[in-house]
Formats: sequence, structure tokens, C-alpha cells
Amino acid sequence: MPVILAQHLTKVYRVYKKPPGFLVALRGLFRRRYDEVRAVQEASFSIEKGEMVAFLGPNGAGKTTTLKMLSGLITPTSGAAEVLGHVPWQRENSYRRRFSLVMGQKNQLWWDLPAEESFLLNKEIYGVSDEAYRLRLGELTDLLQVHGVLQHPVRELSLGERMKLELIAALLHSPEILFLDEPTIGLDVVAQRSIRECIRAYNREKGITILLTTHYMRDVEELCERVIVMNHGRVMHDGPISAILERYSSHKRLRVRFRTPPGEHELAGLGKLVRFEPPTATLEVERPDVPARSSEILRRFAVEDISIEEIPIEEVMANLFQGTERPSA
Amino acid sequence: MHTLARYARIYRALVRNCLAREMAFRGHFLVTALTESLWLLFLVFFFKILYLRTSHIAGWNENEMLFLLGTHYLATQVFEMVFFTNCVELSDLIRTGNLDFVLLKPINAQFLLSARKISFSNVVNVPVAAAMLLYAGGRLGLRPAALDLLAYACLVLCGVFILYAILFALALSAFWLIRNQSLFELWFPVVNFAQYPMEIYPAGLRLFLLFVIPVVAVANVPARVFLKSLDLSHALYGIGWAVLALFAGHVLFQFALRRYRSASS
Repeated sequence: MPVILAQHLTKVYRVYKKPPGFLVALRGLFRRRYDEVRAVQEASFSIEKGEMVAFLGPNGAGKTTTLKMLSGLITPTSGAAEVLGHVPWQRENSYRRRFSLVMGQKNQLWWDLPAEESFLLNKEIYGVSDEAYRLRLGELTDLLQVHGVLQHPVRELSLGERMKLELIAALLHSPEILFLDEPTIGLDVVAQRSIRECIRAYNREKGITILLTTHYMRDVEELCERVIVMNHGRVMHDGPISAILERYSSHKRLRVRFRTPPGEHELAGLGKLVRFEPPTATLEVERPDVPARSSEILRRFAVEDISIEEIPIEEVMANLFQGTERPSA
Repeated sequence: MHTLARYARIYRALVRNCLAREMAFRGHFLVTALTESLWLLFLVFFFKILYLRTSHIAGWNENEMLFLLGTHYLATQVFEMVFFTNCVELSDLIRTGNLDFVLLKPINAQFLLSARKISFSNVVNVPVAAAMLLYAGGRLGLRPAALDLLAYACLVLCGVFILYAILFALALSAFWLIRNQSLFELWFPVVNFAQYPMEIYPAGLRLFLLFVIPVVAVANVPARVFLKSLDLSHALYGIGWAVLALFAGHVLFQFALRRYRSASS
């Protein structure tokens, strides 16, 4: 029984089209042209309890719009969804008590006040008992290491600290599903890692279902076994991250260090030479040819070291999002 | 009952947060208190000057007029304290997409929207209004019974809710217009109609203010508890409008909410 089930979710926005220029703007006062933007098209997926799934895709891929439909903020143009047995956009209180949405670019904490005041307000809104509140706040401040900053006005905190406190605010009522919209955006490497660790620990300990959107491959690699890749509003891939490589990356990389570097022309025909900095060369070779080519290299040249690597997933994704599987060799 | 207690607790938390924030900006607190009181003072002077020339305006003598002004001041200050900022800031919430956080909470969205910011700088003006009412009431020789006070408070409250419903309806236009600040310019002229005796208006305008934009119910109706005479129809009129206006606001809000599309991440 999945906790989240989306079937053919589609969201079409009508966007006011405004070409540049003053006269055009003036005309826009009277007659407006609209473009239809298909933010999400026919997205279908199902997510089981306790899963941690990443939505990955470039800007405008429809990740955030999907999260907003699942959290009931917007109503889809067509399609259906069921989350924890509720239709999200009916916004029943009984549903809204059971999930949280954290947005990396917006804050729900009161800007001029210490975060704890916002927590107390959420405590009342979600009807959390004093005891449960104290317990969870203690757990979360330990987990996120934010003891020192609970009493400082939010506006005086660093982005990383603020994000951690946003997470606490979202978890105090112990939701069953957590939607995270770009939780690590704009954070430095250390803060990103600490947020990731917290999310992972929380998912393991509490068995909470987590859906997150991100641009960062590191988020995905470290957190999620399953990834839903979106582009232009469509789901392009849904499955383990390794399957993306198998599916979209037809090549592997051979990195070779020569004892006596050969001339560049000698390497031609072995594969696509992507980098040649003697004594090291990097060649892209089609997967099935990898064994044959490696042994050929070892036979023909004096090799000090050879390694066979996957093409970095960032590059695979970048090529995927550009609409081509990979640049033609 | 349980729900009511829960909302009361939420409101208490909001009050505490707003108070804490306001205390952080004491300058603003003082400036608001001062400007609003000055505005009242000018109005009182204006009428002092008018009553140098005449003893009655449309059947109202000076003390009655002061009492009416005091009532209006009380209602508008309570309204501005509780609702004004929330209505005006609705368009910002929509434009920035922060309305998301209101809609995500397991609580009536209109309540949270309308109650989230309490403007404590207006609190100081409530005793100012009370002082004015006591002064005018004393000169009128009023000896209010407990029931009168209750009826008065209840009708002032109705007036506050009517003001809220009107401004809330204006604010909801932000769902279509996104930016609607200029609409609020309309607000103060309209509300100012409420501070004068309804007898001074020509018949057409009076009907308009009674039945289209019912600002007459804000100060004229409660003031009648002590001045002139309040009959049941006045009281029913004030209460009826409050209920109707709140209901209309609620329906309009549900309708407007369907327009919401949430700003991009």
C-alpha cells in the first residue's frame, strides 16, 4: 500500500506573455497574450512508506510544482493523487497534520524573533502536547547541533543555521511525510553535509517518508536510493540511481598512465580521447568494448596504471537534460 | 468547545509573538501612538470650531458628537490593532508565495491569515478613546447600566467585524491583481464616513452607507445605546450586518483561494 500515489498529474499554467519594450507594455494593459506553460505533464509514480526519493531535474522541470500538488497548495489541471489516503488539494486538517513542507528559499520562522517562539506557535497550531514538544525539540536540537542559536533572532542567523531551524519547525509535530524543496540550496559544503546527515538519520530512526527536490547530485548520491528524474514536466526516469548510468551512459572512461607516453595519433581508434596530458590519457569507450580495449592498450603500450570509471553522473545528467544522451563522438 | 479553546491558545501564541516583536521596535510603537492621537485631536478641534457657530448639527450637540467620535475611534483602533495589517499584507503573501505556509497549516486559513499580525502600537489608543468617551459621557450626564455597557461593547465589536469584512474583501482582490496597494487608498475616505452622524447625509448617500457599504453600523449604531434611543431594529441591523459581512467574506475567500497558484520556489 503506497503512501503516495500520483496518476497522470498534470499542471498547466497560463502565463502572461510580455515581450520587452514600453509600447508593448502599454498594449499589455488592454490586450494580453498568454502562453500555456505545461509545468507538469502526466507524472505518475508511487512511493512506499519510509522511502526517501529525490526529484532531480533542471530549473523549470516541474519538481516544485509536483511537490506543491502533493502538499495540496495547488490543484492539478488533470490527473489524480492520493497521499496517506487523502486527496491533497482538499486540504483537510486531518491531512495537513500528517506532513510538512520545507522550502529552501522561503522561511516560515518569524524573522525578528528567536526560532523558539515560532516553534511554540507551531506547537499550538498542530496541537502538540507539552511533553511531546519538549521531547522532540530536545531530540532535534541534539541531532542538528543548534543548542546555541534557539534564542537568537532568526534574522541574525546564518543560512545554514536557519535551514536547520526550519527543519525543526517542520518536524515538531512528527509528520509522516516530509516534502523538502531544495533543502540545501545556497548552503556551504559543511552545512549541506550536516543537513543531509540529519535528514538521513531522521529517515532511518523514524521511518518517515521523505521526498526531496534538488539540483545537487551529492544530495541524491548520499541520501536516496531512488530518484525520479524530471525534465520539461515529464518523468524521464524512475528507479535506482545506478540505473540512470546504465540507461543513459553508454560509455565508460579509461584513464591510462603511460610509462612512455605515445603520440596522440597512436591513441586514435581506441576510443574517444577526452583528455590527453602526457603521461595521462582519458578515453571514452563503449561499454561492451571496455575489456577488449583495455587489454589492447595493455598489450600495445607500456602502462604504469589503468583505471576504468563511470562517467560522472553530473555529466550524464547534464547531457540528458540537454536532450541528447551524450555528445556524438 | 475544544476547537474554541485550541484557537484561543493559538491566538495567545500569536499575541505573545507580536508583542515580543513590537517591543523590539519601540520607536515605531511611539510614533504610531502619537500620530493616531494627533489625528483625533485635530478632529476634536475641528468640531470645537464648528460648535462655536452652532449648538446642534443634524440634531447632535457637541458632547454627543464627541461621544460618537470616541466610539468611532474605539472601533477603528481595535480594528487596526487586530485586522488592518493582516489585510494589507495579504498581497505580499500572495506575491512572494508565503501564503503557502498559511495554507499548509492544519487550521482555518482565513483565521490564521487575519490574525497573524497584531499591531500593538494601536493599543495605546484604546485608553485614549476610553478617556474621550468618559469625558463626553460625563458631560452628557450618562449613568450607564451594566446591560447598556454590554450592548455597547457587543455592537462596537460588530462594527469592528464589519470593518474587517469590508477591508478583507478589498484585500482579496490581490488574488486577481497581485498588487492592490492603491485600493487601500480608498479605505480611509470610506471609513471616515462612519465617524459622523448618519443624519447629516442626504437620503441617497445615507441609504448607500446603510445598505451597500454599511459603515454607519460601525459607530452610529453602538453610540445610540447611550444617545438618542436604541431600539431593537438598530441592534438587529448592526448584528445582522456583522454576520452577513463575515459570511460574505468567508465565501469570497473560498472563491479567491481557487485562484492561488503559489509563487515559484
